[in-house]
Amino acid sequence: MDLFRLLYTVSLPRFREHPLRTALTIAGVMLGVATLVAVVLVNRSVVGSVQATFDDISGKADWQVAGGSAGIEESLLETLKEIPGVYKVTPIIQKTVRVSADRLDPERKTQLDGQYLLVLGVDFLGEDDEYFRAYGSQEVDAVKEEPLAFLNSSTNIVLSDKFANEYGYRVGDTVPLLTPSGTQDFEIWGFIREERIGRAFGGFIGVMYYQAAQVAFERGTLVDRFDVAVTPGADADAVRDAMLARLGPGFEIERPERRSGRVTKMLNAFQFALTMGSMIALLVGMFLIFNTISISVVQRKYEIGILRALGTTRRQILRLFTFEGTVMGVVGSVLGTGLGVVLAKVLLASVTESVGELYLQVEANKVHLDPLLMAAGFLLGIGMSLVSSLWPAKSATAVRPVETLRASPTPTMADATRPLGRADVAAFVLGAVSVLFLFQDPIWDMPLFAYGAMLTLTLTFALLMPRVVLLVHRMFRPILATFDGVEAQIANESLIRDINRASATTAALMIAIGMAVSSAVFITSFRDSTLKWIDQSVPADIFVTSAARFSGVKNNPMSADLLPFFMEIDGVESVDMIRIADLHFRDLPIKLLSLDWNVYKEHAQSTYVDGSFEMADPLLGAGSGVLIGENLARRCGLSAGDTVELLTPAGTRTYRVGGVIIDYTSDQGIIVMDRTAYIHAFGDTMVDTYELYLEPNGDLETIRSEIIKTYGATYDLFVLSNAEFKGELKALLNQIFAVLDALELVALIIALLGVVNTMLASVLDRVREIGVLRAIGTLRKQVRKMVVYEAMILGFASNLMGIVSGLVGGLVMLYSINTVQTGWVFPFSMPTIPIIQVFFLILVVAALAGWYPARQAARFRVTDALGYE
Amino acid sequence: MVFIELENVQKIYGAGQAQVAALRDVTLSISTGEFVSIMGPSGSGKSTLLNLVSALDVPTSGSIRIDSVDIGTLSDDELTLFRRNKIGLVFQFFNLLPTLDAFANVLLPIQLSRRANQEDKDRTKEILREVGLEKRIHHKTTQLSGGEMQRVAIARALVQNPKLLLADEPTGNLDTKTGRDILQLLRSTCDRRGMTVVMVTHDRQAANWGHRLIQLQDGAILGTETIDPQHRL
Ligand SMILES: Nc1ncnc2c1ncn2[C@@H]1O[C@H](COP(=O)(O)OP(=O)(O)O)[C@@H](O)[C@H]1O
Ligand SMILES: [Mg+2]
Repeated sequence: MDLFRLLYTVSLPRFREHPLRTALTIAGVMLGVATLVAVVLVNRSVVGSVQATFDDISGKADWQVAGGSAGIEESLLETLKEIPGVYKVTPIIQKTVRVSADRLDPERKTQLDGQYLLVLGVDFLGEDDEYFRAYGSQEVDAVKEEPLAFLNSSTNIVLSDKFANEYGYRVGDTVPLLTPSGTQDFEIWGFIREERIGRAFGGFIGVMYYQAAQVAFERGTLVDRFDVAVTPGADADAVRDAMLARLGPGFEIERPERRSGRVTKMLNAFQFALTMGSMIALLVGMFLIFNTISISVVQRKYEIGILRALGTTRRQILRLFTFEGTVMGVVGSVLGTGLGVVLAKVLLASVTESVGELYLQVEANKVHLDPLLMAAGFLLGIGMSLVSSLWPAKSATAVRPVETLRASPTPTMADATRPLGRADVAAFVLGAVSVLFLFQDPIWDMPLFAYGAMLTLTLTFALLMPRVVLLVHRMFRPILATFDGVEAQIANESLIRDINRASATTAALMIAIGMAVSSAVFITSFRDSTLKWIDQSVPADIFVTSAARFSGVKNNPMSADLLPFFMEIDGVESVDMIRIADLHFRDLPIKLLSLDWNVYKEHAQSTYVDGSFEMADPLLGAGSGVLIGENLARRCGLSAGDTVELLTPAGTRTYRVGGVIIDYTSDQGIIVMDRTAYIHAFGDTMVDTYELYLEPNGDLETIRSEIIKTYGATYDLFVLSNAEFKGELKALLNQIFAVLDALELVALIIALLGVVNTMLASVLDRVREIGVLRAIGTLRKQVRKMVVYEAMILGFASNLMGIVSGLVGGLVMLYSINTVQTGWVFPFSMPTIPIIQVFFLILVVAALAGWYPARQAARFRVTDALGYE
Repeated sequence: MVFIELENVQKIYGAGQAQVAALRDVTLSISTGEFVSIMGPSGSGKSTLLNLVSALDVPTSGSIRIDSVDIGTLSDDELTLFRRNKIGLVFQFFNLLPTLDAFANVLLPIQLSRRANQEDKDRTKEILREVGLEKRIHHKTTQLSGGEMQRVAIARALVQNPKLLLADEPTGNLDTKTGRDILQLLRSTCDRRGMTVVMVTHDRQAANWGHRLIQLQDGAILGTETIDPQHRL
């Protein structure tokens, strides 16, 4: 008989016979595949949208010349033009700006609330700009003809067609944008077609004359970069060398695609973590296949015996069961891929939000349906289904034809003193491999081996699950014996009727719990470290930011002119001005934080990992020194006393490292310097956060209301007390990890499907036994209890190992993965409350998962059940 | 005194074309302390009758009174409690819980209603001794022979001191010698306790252990005879 006929005549009726089991299994694979597909599609979409925006904006540029994040002097334009081989050069200013939705009419307000606009300052008047970018707009053409009126004001802007088509804006309307000196109305002079540049940043794009942008956004004489095109036929690299030679050190000249590559690389760690999370969900789904095929093999021993007696070869049996698993895998993967696309749409907003808080503003509103990635997720689902059905299928081949001759199959009771088996040996080997992995160096700055170790450790714990189930069984025996009622005792005994089934189910649940506990360890440690850091190093009483709760990617830098206002408020003792600028340092996109050293040192006590306050104070005071964050120090191998070279608009400057401090401002790394020195070197006077220190008699609420009354509306100010600041930070962390939480939830749901599956099988295996119990006087209610208790004991065993594996996994995340990816070393914090919550949640949901099978069991007709074979 | 009373009992399985009348119009009474054997060809309704008397099932029509209780009026939970407290069951395939040892199997009916105290445990041991299993108390059921398993089952049936013991082919799965031992045990323990016993069998020799034999055919009583103790082997 060929495989397909076997499948048709033997397997198909079985699928039908257990529709719920088949459906649950397929659902498990589906959810696993869907999660993976959704995550990879979302990651691809986010990166894709960043790259697309870069590409659309860069146009035909061969090189982009930049002078660090603060900008580059526009006067260098002339210098560049003179360099042989430079064909076209044009200055660019690029900035994401918040739309001040409060000023809009109600309908537009809901549409554009929280929306950011990518404002591009270009040189309309220069001849060269045309070469790089086409705007496809009559109004722009008209402006070029008659530029004076357009250039007359610093708040004239051209928007993409999207604003005309979707929000009904017309030429002459104004759009309120947040600038360093508060909200300003920008007058719309025209629209550009929503293609190329017009579709960058999801079409939320505005184009201004660059000098107007300099004024509106207080950039002085700086621009962000120059786009350079090389004379056709000239050697681009030679032109670059010539530019470098002419400009001197301290300038970056890069291909546009390299710049976008650097930005997207920043997202690697975040995206990798998400992918790993979704892989775990898929892995849990695979346990369902494993379990279902195992159950199937046990329940069909008789049938297998007959097939063997009829001359079916072992190979055919192996193929049959593998194929059954694979068929479910295929169906699950097809559905999962489809569901993944839907899920991706839901997930995209949340991921974009997190990326926006952490790294950069992204306008990714369409899921990029990369067929290659979808195919990869699909095939992985099928491949893993095949592999997970292989093992139980192999056990089917061990059934001998004579087994058909025996009467009713006796349950394979686990021996409490189970001898060392293959699973234990495999666990030992995998455990050893995990340890080996943990001592490997990262590859391409990525802790790939550590991620590998997470996986092998997970499997190690899974392989140890039979031991844990037996341990729990034995542990419970004397305890339950002292209980009223025999239901729990019977549940505990029937737990080990099929130890493989119980182990696979608990292993899947254990993995899901482990994942939740690991991330709880990580989040708790991260949060505790951060809060402790704020207490010591960020002790200000009031934080004032514009457009966002924190200074970071989303806030609007404010003008320094607000300082006198804050100083004059009654009860304010001193004001620190914080500016956090992007800096490109040794190929890392880090942050340069400047503060008023004299104010700061009076109030805050940084924790020095290297160097000391005594060493740092004179250096920072004199403007010749910096502090660096421990993570950057670790990643770049820097210590106190070393020198660092920073790129400024005027070229490279050298600073001495006064100390290495603990700092959690950015996972990419931070350098801290005095504000005066910063302004001197970078020519940037803007302020991201005004940090107010109050006098002992200063009343927070009075001061807050005065600030809000005066500038709240124009600047869209957020005025937070220190406690609120910490609260917001906690909320932000929760938000960032929300996606991970969702993945954990999916893994948990899949694992619970496994519990339902197993309990259904367990009930089915015991129909007769349940009949006997009923016959000798067991109430329906008691039967239900037995099944529910059994599910709860499964949950308990999973909890036990899940918490252990989660703590181990958390340590790996903290010290092997996080340390490599961020350079931070968070002291371990025990997530006691989350663990307790997870523990009880699992018991409750396991009980719920047992509920349906329990009801089935209680419904059996006693006389039928007694006669059941 | 009448302990079991069946009046015009009918049991019909299925509906429409597929209807099977497993019992048709059975009227029967069994006295307290009586040991009744039931015989009949396969499919004649023996198990159906026993199931009804066991309160495992209710008749389609007619009434069944056991110990003055009309079981047709009881709910599922009431039937269950009735079985638990008043009836001991012995099956052909022993039907012990494979996960429990002999002791736990016997103690089980008690534990279904309350936490077992020392007295219960002592009585359990005592009953296991009575059925000749004092050396097997903590053996897993899988380690016992067929005869031993049936002894455990009898002990389980006796542990609640029921007034009624029902056995469906208790020797059907045992060799002749073991079967005889089991029947002897059944008869002697029930006599000692004054229990009423109804036993289904297809073996005349086994049936002879009873006081009275009822013959069933096609769901109706074919005849009743009193058994001469002489016939017992
Ligand atoms: N649950 C049932 N559903 C349908 N028919 C049944 C059922 N149980 C028994 N029968 C039928 O009722 C008749 C009597 O069965 P049973 O009492 O088991 O006979 P015996 O035990 O004497 O062999 C048979 O024809 C049998 O097929
Ligand atoms: Mg029968």
